[in-house]
Amino acid sequence: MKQDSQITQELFDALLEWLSPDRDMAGRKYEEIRKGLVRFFLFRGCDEPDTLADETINRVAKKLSSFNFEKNVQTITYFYSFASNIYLEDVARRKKRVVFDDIERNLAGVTIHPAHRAQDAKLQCLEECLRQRPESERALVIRYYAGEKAEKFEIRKAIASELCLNLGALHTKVHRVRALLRKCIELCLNKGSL
Amino acid sequence: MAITDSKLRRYLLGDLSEDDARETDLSIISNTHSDEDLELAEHELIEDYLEGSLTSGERELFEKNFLISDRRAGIFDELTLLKQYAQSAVPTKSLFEPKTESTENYGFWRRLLGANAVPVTGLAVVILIFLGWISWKVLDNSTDPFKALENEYSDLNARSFDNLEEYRSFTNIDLTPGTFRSSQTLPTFEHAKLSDNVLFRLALPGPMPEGSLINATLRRNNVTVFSQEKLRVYKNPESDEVRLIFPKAVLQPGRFQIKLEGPSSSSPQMLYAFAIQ
Repeated sequence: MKQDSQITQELFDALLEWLSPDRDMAGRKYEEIRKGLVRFFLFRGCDEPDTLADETINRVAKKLSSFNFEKNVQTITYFYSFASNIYLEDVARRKKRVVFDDIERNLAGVTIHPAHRAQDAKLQCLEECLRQRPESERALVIRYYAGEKAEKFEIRKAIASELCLNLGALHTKVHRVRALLRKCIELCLNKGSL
Repeated sequence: MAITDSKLRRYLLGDLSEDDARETDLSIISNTHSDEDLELAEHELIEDYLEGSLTSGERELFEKNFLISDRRAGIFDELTLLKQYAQSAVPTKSLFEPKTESTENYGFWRRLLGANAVPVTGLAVVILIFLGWISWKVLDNSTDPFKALENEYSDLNARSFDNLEEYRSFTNIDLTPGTFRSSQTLPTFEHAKLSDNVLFRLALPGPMPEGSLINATLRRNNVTVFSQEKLRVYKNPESDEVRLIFPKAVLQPGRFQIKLEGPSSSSPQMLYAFAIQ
């Protein structure tokens, strides 16, 4: 997304002053608001949450002098109204993408799409990467993802109980393993494509 | 106000009223819910989609409103890979070593049965196994309506499909391997238009050794509904393929996946996806 022009130092100072007369407190509030905006854009499915959050803050800063503070609206509500508009602008800008692997059928004959080979390669890399991890992590990944529907929930409860974790902590643990696997798979795929 | 799980799911699908969406937006901006909670909700939604647990309306919303960022596409890809791997992997041992049995129970039974503990226990085990076998035979046919059909079609699929002209009157479905994850690209066929027997031609990714025999498993909405074993591989100008017939009776509306497994345990699995509506 192309950002509007950056705000001036004067506008930025006015924004901080509005957040709090205490500069340190203003800085903390600014960071909290920015993180909240990034989270908003992220979980609304936007690809550039940081850029959109900065754009929101820039527009608020530029319009600050025109706000009617007598209405006693919460600070966050000002940011939210701008963020909502920027979100809608982002949606309009993004065209619907086909983000899935797609295999083209040739009805006259049979063709193998490269995406299938890519999936095979990823699976092989995943297997190799799991072999490099401790056996307990491999077992964790297999048990965590093998089940489906209601059975899956029971399995995960059982794993959490075995590891003396709640479900949220278990998810975090698996999330960390996945992050390590992701890096390993990327390296493996890059090696394979050389 | 805390967001309920179901409300968060509907938020991610873009299925909330304006007021509720606004309330949830503000809740997210104010950090009422942790990032971990929000990410967990995203992952659970993706897994439900992959497992066929979403309604058709939810699937549509998922594809239109949820899976619209590179980040989510990456998570989707990753979870698909992990589930595919996990479901085909041999179960490994538990995360912990199994606890050793306490000897107290053995002592109790020994006291109860006295010197005849071993032969009596042995006889009881034999009886239980026999009863279990009887129950399995009774239940197997009653709970699996397609079991008898599988045997029948096993003979049918053992015949030669060299002359495809003989099967002109059958609905022919040609599939290439891969994972279709968009309803816009999933090959879809109308149930009403299927012939009673449907000939599937499944392209293989490469040439197979002479005389290879392939096993096929048909899954509908992630539940196995039909299997066939020892299927022949046929040559055609483009590549090798497997040819087999499924009865229309098992091809009820739903999302399907055919899994082919090669002749050895080291052969890759091949997956074919389609839908019947």
